[in-house]
Amino acid sequence: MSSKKDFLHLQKANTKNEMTLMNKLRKDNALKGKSLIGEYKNAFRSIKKRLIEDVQPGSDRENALSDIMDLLQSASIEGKRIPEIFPDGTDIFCDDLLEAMPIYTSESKHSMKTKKNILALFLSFLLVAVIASFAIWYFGIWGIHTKGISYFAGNEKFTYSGIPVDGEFSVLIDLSDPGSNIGKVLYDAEGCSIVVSHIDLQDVNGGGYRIGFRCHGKYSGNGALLISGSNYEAVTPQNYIITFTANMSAEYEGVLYESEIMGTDSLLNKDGDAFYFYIFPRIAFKNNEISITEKGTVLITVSDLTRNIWSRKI
Amino acid sequence: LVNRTQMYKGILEGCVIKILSMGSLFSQEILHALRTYGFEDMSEGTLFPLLLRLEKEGLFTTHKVRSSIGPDRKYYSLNENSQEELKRFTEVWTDFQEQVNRIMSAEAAKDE
Repeated sequence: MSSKKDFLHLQKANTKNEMTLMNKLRKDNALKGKSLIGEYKNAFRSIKKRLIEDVQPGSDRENALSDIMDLLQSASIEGKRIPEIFPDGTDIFCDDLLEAMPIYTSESKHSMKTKKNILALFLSFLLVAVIASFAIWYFGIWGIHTKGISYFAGNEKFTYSGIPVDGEFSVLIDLSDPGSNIGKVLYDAEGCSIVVSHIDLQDVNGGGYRIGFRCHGKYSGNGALLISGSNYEAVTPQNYIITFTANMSAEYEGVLYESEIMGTDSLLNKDGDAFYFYIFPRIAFKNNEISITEKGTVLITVSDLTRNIWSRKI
Repeated sequence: LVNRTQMYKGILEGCVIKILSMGSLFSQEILHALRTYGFEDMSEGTLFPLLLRLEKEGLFTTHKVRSSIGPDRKYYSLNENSQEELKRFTEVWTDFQEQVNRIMSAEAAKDE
């Protein structure tokens, strides 16, 4: 039992010694190889290529390469030309040389080729993964994918401009059936839209009729566009200020009311935000002009929307 | 048959062993000796694989010596195996030579 152990230990040590020796030879050869120039270097390269293709790695191959380098170095010093040293060419020289070398069998060559292919495939995958990771990091693809438009707001890689949208946009709201108004379109252009997303009724102290508009924008790796009731001006890197810009009026039974601002959802949704108004001002309830039991139709008109544009800096 | 390089292969191995029986030499000296004996078209490219082959067959012991004008010189020396090999080669070569000579002489006589 112990002799088997000793044998294994010895085998392991021999393999280790062989590896150490081979690595040393490789290092020495690499150093020596640098001293070859011109035709000597070219000849050595073609011989080395052939030996690497046909001879199993190990000290035999490295020793032969070392001796060939010595041979070429001596020839270079003596001024002997390559055709003098290899009159039949380096291919014939290699053929002769291979007779004394541990060459690959067809099976081992095939196995080596398979291993090489697997390695090449693995490296290709790795390369693609590295490039993809870099692209994801560089272009913020991950951030855009997870955060949507909010990724752009305050992002120093993007320029921002908030431009007022000209014009007014109207939608009819049926107070007798608030739920039926959900989905009505206030604005729809350039791939952006604003639709009625919320409408409810509170008591007078709660502000009465409340309406919400959901703004849907568009975005890609190069930037984003959002038509909204708010302006998202960048102030410092990673910070921005939201300014409510929209105004709303409600025309009901021949009377025009200035609606009161309720609030905004900021960029909570990946593709945009939302803004809310009290349809009628509190004063209208106080003056009994409006009650919380209205059943008519009100014309809602929204103006002063903002075109929020984020563009990748060049 | 007319390819001298192929014909030489076996014979050259014997010749190289014989040359080394006179003492340790490095490859350039072996090459020089071969050329001196008439193998004028011998080159390093022919000798190198031959030396490597014989070394791998265990017919040489080698050692390196530093050189002031180039890379280390690899010296080849005979060992017990090569002494035996030289004996065998000498016998085979003598027989072979005699046989070839007999044929050549007989055929030459016929031609006359």
